[in-house]
Amino acid sequence: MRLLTLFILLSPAFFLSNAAAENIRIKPLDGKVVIDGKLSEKVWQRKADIEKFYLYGSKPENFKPVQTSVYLAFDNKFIYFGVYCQEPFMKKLSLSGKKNDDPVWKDDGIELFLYPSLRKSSYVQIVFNADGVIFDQLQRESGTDGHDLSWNSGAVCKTFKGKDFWSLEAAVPLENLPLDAPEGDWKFHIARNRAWKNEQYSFVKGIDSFHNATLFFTLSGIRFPSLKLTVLDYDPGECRYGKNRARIVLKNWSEKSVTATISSIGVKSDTPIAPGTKVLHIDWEQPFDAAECNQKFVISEGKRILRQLTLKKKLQDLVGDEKNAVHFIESNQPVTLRIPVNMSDFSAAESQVRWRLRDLQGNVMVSGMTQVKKQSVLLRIFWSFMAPGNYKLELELFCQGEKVAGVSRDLRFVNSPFQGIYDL
Amino acid sequence: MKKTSAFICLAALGAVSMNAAPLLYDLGTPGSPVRKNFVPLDIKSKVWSSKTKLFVKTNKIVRESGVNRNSGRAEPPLYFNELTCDHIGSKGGADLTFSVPDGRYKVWILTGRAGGDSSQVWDIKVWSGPANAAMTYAGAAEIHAIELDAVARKGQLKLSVSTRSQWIINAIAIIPEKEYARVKKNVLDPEMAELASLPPEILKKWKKMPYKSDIPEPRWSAAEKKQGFAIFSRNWTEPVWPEQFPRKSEIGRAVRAFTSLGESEPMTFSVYPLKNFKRVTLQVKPFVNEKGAALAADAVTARYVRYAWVRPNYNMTGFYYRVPEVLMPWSERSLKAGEPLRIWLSIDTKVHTEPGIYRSTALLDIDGQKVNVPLTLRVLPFRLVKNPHVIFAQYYDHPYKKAARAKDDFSRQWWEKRAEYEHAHMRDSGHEGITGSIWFTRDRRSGKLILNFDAMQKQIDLMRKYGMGKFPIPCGMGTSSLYAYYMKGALMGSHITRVKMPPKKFFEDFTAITQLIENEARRRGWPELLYYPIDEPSSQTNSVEFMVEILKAIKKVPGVRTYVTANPAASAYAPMKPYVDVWSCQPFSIPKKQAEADMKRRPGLEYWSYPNHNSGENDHTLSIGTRMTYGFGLWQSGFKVLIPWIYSVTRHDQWNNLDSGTSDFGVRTAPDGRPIPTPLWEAYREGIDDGKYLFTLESLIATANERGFKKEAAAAQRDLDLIKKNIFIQERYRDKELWGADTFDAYRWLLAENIMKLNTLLY
Repeated sequence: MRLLTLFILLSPAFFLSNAAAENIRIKPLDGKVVIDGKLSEKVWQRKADIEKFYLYGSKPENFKPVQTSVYLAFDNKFIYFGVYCQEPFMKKLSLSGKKNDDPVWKDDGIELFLYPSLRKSSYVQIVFNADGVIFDQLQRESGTDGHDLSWNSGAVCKTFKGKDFWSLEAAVPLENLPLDAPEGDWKFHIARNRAWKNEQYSFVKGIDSFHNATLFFTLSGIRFPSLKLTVLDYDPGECRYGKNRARIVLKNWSEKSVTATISSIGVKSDTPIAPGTKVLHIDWEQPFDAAECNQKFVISEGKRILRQLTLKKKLQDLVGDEKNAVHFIESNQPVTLRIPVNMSDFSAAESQVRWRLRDLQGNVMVSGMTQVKKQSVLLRIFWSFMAPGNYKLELELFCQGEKVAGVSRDLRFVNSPFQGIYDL
Repeated sequence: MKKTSAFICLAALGAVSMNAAPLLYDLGTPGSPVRKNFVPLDIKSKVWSSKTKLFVKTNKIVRESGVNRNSGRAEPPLYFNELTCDHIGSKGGADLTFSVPDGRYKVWILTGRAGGDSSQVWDIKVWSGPANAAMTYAGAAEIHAIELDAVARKGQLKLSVSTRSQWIINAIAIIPEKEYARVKKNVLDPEMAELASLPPEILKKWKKMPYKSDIPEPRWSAAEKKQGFAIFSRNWTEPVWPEQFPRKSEIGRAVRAFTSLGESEPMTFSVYPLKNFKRVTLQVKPFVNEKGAALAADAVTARYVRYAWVRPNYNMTGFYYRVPEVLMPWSERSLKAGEPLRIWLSIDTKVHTEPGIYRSTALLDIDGQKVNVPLTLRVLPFRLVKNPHVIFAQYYDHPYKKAARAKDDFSRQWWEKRAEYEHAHMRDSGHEGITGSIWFTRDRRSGKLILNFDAMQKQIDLMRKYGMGKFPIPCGMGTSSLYAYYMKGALMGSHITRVKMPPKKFFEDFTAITQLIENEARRRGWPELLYYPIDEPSSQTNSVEFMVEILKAIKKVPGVRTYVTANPAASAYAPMKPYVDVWSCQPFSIPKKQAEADMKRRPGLEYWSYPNHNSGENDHTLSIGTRMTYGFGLWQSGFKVLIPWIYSVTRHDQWNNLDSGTSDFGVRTAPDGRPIPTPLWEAYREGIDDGKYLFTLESLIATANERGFKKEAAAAQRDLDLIKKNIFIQERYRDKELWGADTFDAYRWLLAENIMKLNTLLY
């Protein structure tokens, strides 16, 4: 029995050093392409850029491979794909997706993985079904975590269905891709889903997951000279209660200053970016009374959106629970509790916890005030004549002098099994 | 390959005297590749005595992976290099004579990676005068170096080789004693390091991911700097990683444990070396109590934690890191600066041990520096009671299968003995069952049913011998073979993703065969068989439809129960529900209340878990999550059985986790066939013990209530409730949202205190 989940730990350095992948050189567009699904234009009347596809997974009985041919081209604005898919059983095509971002990866179709941002593990997945319905997402980091479905490629796609084949034409705008630089090598992967027959094909032999970017091929030769500003790195911050700080690294590739517009929690700000690299810090607040973090960040240059990120996650309790309710008491030793505080480091520096330990009769045995540090507060509880028994610990969290949370915890103190025993 | 027995002066080894130079031989076939620094030695060499009947075998050096037909994944070959690609061997004894100058030598012999038959057990003993060295190992891939002292007299150094089955030798090094340390460091150790991981050209494509510790380097005391090491103690559930510093609070921390009667308890401490040391020895003095009574002589088992390279995931390639992995039997060690050595003692108390405080000392000798580590064990005055309604079992690759294939008596007996040791080990760790299987098919031409009950009988006999005779056995069946018979040789695909609905006759036959098996099982008085036709069926429509029909076919036999490894919470499996009696899934996916209500509503229905996230299938270090799953987690799950996959899995070399398409994990095997546990295994055992503490207290509370000690029972119940309230209930316990390592002991102690109070009250 095997665990089927495959998690892939990816790092940018690995992608860049992966010498096993093959290289495909993309050609500039010769002529024009009318996106109608028919591969009738001059640019497609040549040897296909990719013709060899491998079956993904185990080979079924009576397996008969079908032809898949992929043509690539680009101009100043788009990267173009022309795909021919042989299909002797056109009537059997499985096509459930009707509108964009429907799960068309379950359909007969083509999956593109474009990885133009090699500094950070940020790539895009664009899926076209044989009806031309598009699903697209930005994959940040690896696997299914960190995927951003709100990202839109702006791709245009049309398909054409023949007697024993279907074909596809698509244009993906370069300006919407997570580009790091006006030129340089990309990584990419293309796969075909033959859903009705439960077959999948990849041009990467032996790939264990379509998302395994370590095995993507290199796509070289592409240029986007009009690209001025790119996002080299962005980090929205801790996403915890209180003041958070986002960090954005921008690069202006041109020789003139460019204005970057940053929109954070609905507030827009324009910042001039001189030629070269600039690091911006944007502060934002996560209110103490919200149960979840729901923030949207948009980085744009004029009308062009460079990156957008929606942070949506349920927040942990402001004052957490280490679930350690039983503590040994030993002679002249305090009982130490580390209580989690889910607060940003900025706000933690301005916060304290007031605490009281009561016995079951309500008598305060000991109390104190302790500074919050690094997402937790460390309490050392000690009083003369500490005794085993049940206690209640009351905690109040103050930020800038204002109470923002109050909780209580049941505690049980027991004598250590080695009370009074000294080692030799 | 040219015949040679000349002295070899190796530039790589530095300048050496021509009077006593290292001889490094690569044994094998004439003309086969020869390892750098070595010279060839073939079967016709004069070193062999003329009586010796030798064989020679060559394996191809291949680096390209094949593709696994079933999974479609890349499957690497068994990696050989010039040293291991060929060997000389024999089924009998052999004598070798080397012409060397008189003097003292060290002889290093490389033996293993034979290729071929995985059921073969290799056995070699090499003598030189009174000195000898031996090794026994199983299968096609394992490889070992053995070393012995030798003396050359009258210009000759003689070696005698003997075996109880067959022996093979890949390489021999004869090294003057004075040169040995240098040759070992420069040549032999790098060879062994390579054989323990991957060929360099493969390994360079893999990415090393070192563990990042957040523990800063402590400020070493003057004494620690002077002696060059520090002794520290960490809770056993928390790994001690290679290259990890001790916490300041762990240095000099007392090594203590408490235990009930008849329980086994780990006590660990570690040495952090600030520099290299050549030799560490350990002696543990008897544990003696206040009255002078000592624990039994065999109460203490000493082990050390072996570090190993692993991948992050069972079937992932390309990434690797080093982890603390196996609890090796203690042997003299050396220390490398910055790499902690964890010493792991298991203390077993007998049921009649006198309660009290027992003290002992672990005596370490580190290159002549003597260190005393005080050990304190509190033996509590009660025995634990196990909840009879929960069962711990293991998926098990039975050694009897290899015993049946073994070609010589020694190999067969080794596999059989190994099965005995492993059953005893499982029993002693609280396990009550294993999986089984009855394979069957029909002859393609005659249609005659081929089915063997005797192999299963033998396995059940062994289970009974070790107290596992009551466990309902999940019994694998020959479904794929019968499917191929009715579907013209078709395969069902991985997780039956390619399955098509077979004709009605297939299911009728399946019912008839199930009836036949059930009749025979009842006739032979076997434990209940749980019919387990398919492992982990996919949730695809075709798979589920097939499962429904095959489960129906089984259920036509009156009184039998079915066993399915799938998640009962997944809606895709809903059509199967009426026909599944035992759901076995990885997570505790059904909440406790629902699980209990479902089982009450439908007698015969049970929820089992195979917590592979705790078995080492992927992460080899989750001791804390494993302990939680097996004890407090199971207590609050409503599940009845824990049956992880798998007790032990060896793909190629059991000591090399990188060398095959999937990783080795689980319990390993010593040369004599005895099991070598892992920290994860100990976490199973300790988790089971946590469960016993819980059940013992629950039983005493019930008795106290019955006898009218309501107030005392309520007080103990409050403490149980406090623990219950403080569990982070999870479907899978790994390493997040768990108690701290020491919290487990605090909770266990709270249970122990209450047990002692109620015991005093009631008995």
